[in-house]
Amino acid sequence: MEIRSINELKKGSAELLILSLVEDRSRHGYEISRMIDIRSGGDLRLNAASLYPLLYRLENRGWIEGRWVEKPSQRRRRFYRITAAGRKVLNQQRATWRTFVAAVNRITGET
Amino acid sequence: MPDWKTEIQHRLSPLHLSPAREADVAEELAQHLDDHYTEMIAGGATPELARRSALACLDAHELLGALRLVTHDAQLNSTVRGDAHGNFFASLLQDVRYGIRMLRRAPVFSTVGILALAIGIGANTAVFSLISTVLLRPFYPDIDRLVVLEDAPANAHTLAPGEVQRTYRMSYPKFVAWSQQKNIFESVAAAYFQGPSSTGVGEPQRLMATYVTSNFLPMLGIAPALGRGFRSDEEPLSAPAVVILSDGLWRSRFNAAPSVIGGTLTLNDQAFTVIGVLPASAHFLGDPDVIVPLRPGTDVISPTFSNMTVFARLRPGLSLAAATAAIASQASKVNGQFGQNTEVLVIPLEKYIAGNSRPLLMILLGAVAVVLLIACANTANLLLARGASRQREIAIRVALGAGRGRLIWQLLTESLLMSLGGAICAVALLWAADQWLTRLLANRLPAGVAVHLDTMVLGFTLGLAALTGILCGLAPALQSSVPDLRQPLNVSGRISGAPASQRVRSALVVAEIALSLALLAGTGLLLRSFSRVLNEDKGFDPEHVLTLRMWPSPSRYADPRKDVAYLDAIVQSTSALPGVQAAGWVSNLPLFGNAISGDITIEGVSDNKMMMASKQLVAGDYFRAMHMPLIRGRFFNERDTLDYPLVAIVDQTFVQRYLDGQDPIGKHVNFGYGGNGWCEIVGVVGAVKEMSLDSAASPTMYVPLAQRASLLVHMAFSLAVRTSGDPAAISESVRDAIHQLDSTQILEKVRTMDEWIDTSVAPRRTPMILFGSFAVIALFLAAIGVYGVLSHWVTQRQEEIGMRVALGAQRSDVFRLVLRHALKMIAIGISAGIAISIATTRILSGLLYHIKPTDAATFTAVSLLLGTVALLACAIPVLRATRVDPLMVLRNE
Repeated sequence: MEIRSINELKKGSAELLILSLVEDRSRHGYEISRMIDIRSGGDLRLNAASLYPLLYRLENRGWIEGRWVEKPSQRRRRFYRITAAGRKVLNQQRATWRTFVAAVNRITGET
Repeated sequence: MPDWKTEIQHRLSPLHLSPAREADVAEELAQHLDDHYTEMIAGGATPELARRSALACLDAHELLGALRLVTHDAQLNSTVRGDAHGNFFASLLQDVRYGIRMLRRAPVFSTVGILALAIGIGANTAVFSLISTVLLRPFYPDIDRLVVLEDAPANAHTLAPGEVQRTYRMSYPKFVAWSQQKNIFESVAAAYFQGPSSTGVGEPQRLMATYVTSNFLPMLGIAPALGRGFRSDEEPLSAPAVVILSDGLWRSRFNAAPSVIGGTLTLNDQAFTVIGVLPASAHFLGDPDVIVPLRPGTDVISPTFSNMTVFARLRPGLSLAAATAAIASQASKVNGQFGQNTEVLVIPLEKYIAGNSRPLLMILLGAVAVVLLIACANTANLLLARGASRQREIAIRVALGAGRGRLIWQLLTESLLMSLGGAICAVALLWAADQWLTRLLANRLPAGVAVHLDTMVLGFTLGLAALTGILCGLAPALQSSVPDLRQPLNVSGRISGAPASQRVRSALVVAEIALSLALLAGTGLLLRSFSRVLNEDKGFDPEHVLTLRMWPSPSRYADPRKDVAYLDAIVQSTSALPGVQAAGWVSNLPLFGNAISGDITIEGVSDNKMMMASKQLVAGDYFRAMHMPLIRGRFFNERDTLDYPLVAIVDQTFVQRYLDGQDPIGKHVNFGYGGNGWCEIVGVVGAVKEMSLDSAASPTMYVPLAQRASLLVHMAFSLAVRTSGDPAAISESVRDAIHQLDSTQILEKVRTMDEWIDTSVAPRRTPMILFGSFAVIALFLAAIGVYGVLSHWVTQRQEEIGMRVALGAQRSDVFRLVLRHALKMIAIGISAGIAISIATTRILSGLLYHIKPTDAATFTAVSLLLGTVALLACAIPVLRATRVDPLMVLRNE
């Protein structure tokens, strides 16, 4: 896997996180932001101002699909789930990420 | 819980999202802030701290920036992939808005393009609207089963051209015999056209009346709009007199009052009860003002008088071919009863109505299609030129990520907007001009056919506009959508076009020139035919002749001698008017093919050859009034009455055809109808074109009307008055002279003979004017095309020209350089045009007269005309090229 630029990777990482989180089940925006916070142990944080535009972008590209879901005695929430095209992108990005991390590790001497 | 939504909507407002989208985003974000707030409160935070923390997640600056990127991303993406329906409409709307903005930014370009398309689309819509009524819509329900039966002379096909009559009618007894053929016909109806006069209040007006059998209206599927149709018990002579009015008469004379039913209309001094009004859509037999029942026993019914137009509805399941065969096998049996040797022609009603309008409309359709093609080529050229000058804009859009499909669609939207604008202008133009067009075509189309705009026609226009938009926009869009990304971005402002684009544009102009030439050649041929027809030897002198037509009332002049005396008195009093040189009657004026035509027999001439002649009844000084030359013998005089031997005058064509090499004077000819037929030839006059100026002269026989008095009661006559001055000036005194003899006499068609000639050539003038207008439009469009392409070529070469001048080239060198390029385009265009013309003008041959469709002189003349106009269109670009300032060009480098 050839990595085209560092910038692309940085931008891509947030996409990778979101796609991974909606891979197995659909989640709403707040849940996604909480999961990133919790799973990273508070090291990674995606605030609403960045998260939602990113969700819309992924949706525009056809990688995820948003749907309003109504539950009794609750306000309706928008749930996102991955599409077939998104799954393909996710696999690609995972591979890219692994290559990147491995390469960085080789350079910095960590194993 | 704080009100997040208001705050969020406030922060989103600079994005101008659609209201629905904004509400969705706000709701989702508010939900997020709610969750955050609730969690904070649960964790022990104060409401104020929780509120601030929640709002902090939604940094306005960051949010707007990110969302803007998303919107942009969406627009670029959606149409490249073309998957989301919502985005499709959104981007279509965006394209339309953008397209309108681009068109408004270049008003001259847009106006020229839209007008060119308006003309092309308008012409096509007009012709389509005619075609849709004449050829596509059935006039009557089940029209394929309706036929007209004509009783033609057995060997009609052996007649020389020009002699063949357009229509043959059938006698009433024969109609009755055919109507009994129940195995062929479901029903058979007859109509007899006549003109009773109505002398009501005010100026007496002659109404055109048609006598019809009671099954006539039901057979054509016409139901009265008001009242009822005729019943079979209204056919006997003893039944009360009833009449059905046409829609036109009902409106003009009775102010469309429904109370007219049961009222009275006076026809020929007899009162008729009005029982019905025809619908406005009913058109048949020259659209009579009234119809009355045809009654057996009236004097119009005679076994020797073929005056019925016979309509028949074939039995269901019987094909036209089978019916024609069945009729042919029955013909001898039916004709045998009458001792006549005739042949029954079966003419489909549709053909009978549409007649000769079909080829004309097809030719017109071809011509307007060519105009539209030229308009498309022109607009495509404009778009290509614009595409070249917009390369910078397009390159930027591509650099920003716009896909090719997206760009093509955007550019197509612009050309579609133009063609739609053209269509709207076209409909407005037609709406304004339909009266004029209908009048222009009136002589060439069946009754009731007019240019009109209904949903079918508007649908056609819309479809045509879409097709046109794609046709003229596709090539430019394809070409412009693959810009060279480097050049336009690097070199500021310089307009440039790829050589390929220049080639396409030159090819389009060459095509425009070629197509225009074809239309011009057609026009030239029609024009020359027209002038040849007008210069044809008419056999009489139409200048200084006033004519009028009148029909002595059959009730007041029932006695033939009284009728003859009345007509004589009119000649006497008219001739006595100052300025009148001669006056006389004729049963039918020449040029319209209205004269009665029939077979004749000549004493001592073998009978086995079919001999037909036009038969004219004359009185007074008709020959002198028309300046017809006497070639042998004498004219008629006042002694040629019933008290003296019957006499006749024949024309030169008659002598040449039937009495070749013999002395005609003293020969006896059987005139064929109106009592004892044998009469002696006493004179020979010059040949006159009876049918029309462009047909061959037919043999004609003239007899004194005083000697055929028994025919008069059914006949109208035309008076010809030769004047020394302006014939129109004398019309009032002629009217007065006649009204002094009978104040109720209705006078019709008071016109000069020159006006009649004008009317007689109208069928030629109409296609000529239409073709000519199309050709002028085409020429104009081609000139614009040449100007545009050459002008663009010069702009593109400015640098090269400047360099040449800087290196010492003279103005004349530049002049030659540009002119050479222009001449090359024009020459190729004209050559291609001549080739197209040679291949296509033969479709016009039916409309041409004494000229070959490939007439070299015409082609040369129109080529010169086109070449001159095209060169004039080059003038401005050429002059501009010679004024290129080398310093300016070099400074720009």
